[in-house]
Amino acid sequence: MKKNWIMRSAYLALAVLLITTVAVSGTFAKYTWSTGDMESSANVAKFAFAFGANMIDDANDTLTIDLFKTITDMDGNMDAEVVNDGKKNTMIAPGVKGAFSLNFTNYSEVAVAVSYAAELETSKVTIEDEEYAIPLEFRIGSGDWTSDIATLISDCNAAFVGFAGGNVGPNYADAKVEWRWAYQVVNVDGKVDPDVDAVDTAFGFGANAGVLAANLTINITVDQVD
Amino acid sequence: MYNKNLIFRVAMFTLILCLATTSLISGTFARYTWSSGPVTAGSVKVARFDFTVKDQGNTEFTAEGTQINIFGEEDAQGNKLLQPGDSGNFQIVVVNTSEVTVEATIDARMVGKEGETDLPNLLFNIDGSEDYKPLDEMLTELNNSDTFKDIAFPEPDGSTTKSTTIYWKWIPADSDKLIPGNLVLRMEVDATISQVN
Repeated sequence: MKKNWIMRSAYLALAVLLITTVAVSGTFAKYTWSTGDMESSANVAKFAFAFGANMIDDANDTLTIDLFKTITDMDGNMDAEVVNDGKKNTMIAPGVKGAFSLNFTNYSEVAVAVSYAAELETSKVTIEDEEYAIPLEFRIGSGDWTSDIATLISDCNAAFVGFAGGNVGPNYADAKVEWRWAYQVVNVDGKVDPDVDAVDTAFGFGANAGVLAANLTINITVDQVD
Repeated sequence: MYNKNLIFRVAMFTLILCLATTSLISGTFARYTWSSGPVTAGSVKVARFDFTVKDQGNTEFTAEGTQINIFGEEDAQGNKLLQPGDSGNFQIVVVNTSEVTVEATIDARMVGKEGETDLPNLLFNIDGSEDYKPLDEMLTELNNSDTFKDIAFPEPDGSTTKSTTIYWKWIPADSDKLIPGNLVLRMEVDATISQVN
């Protein structure tokens, strides 16, 4: 009981102390001096970056990416055997490939991390009750080809991208992803896999009945690094 | 003494708690962050694979097999009669309406309708000359030529056509004596259309 009373008194005293300190500003001092208004200001660090030529420095900026912009044959030339406009291919078929770059430049005044998430959706064909997607494959650098773009794209993530003048590392992070639709698959016995051809052919025939397409959606997040 | 130390500790704790609470309420723990949201990063269409293979009478080849006219017109009884020295020709026409370039490979065989193996000595060529050759040789020459190579995809809503005429002739031979008089001869022709890489 006595202890509670002491505790309460302590709290009250502290509160009174805080309030009093604010209210009484040196009026008990004999000598007194005031600096006058001391000004101090600080600029807010910029948050801006670019993906290729696509600058993001405003909350309303939007991002446009065309990952199928360039379609070529396996030698990197316009594939003359697939529909084209004389300069570039406009459709995909077995035997074409392409690539896209995720060129990130940090123009901020803080270090950032950039991460990617991708989802590939394609039309499907059904052969003997089994459904198949367009057999697009992806790889980064000289890595293995994979159809799992969702997992592969995370290899493009950059956990730390510095800023110009910050001396904490480069202010850019580049990644190049290749994709392809293999013309044919040769098995270990040296023979062309007929099942793969059958799936490819089903897509070619299927395109006569309606548009068959591949759509890639990507999510990009840029976070300031603490 | 004990009470003074306790009061001091309580005061410091209260001050720290006050400062921490203030920063949480005002949101000073926030960072810069931006998200693109789902961006359609690319959409591309599949090129069509479409074509027609037919004979000179526009009878189309089908995957199930088609009766085409090779040996000429039928008589009133629906028979086509052949005898040594007869000759004729037929056409194979490939029309490409795909969005890819294609090529055609032709295969053919002569069969007796009832499985007979003693068949007329029919020889073939693709140039209309008097230089006829066995069926297999003619097919090799045809498939190695540019006749059905690189049948380009056409302009939109158009088509690209390539064709060949195959000439045949029954060259009399001693083996003709073995041919059954009621032989019914059939020639089977297959066409395989493949996309060109």
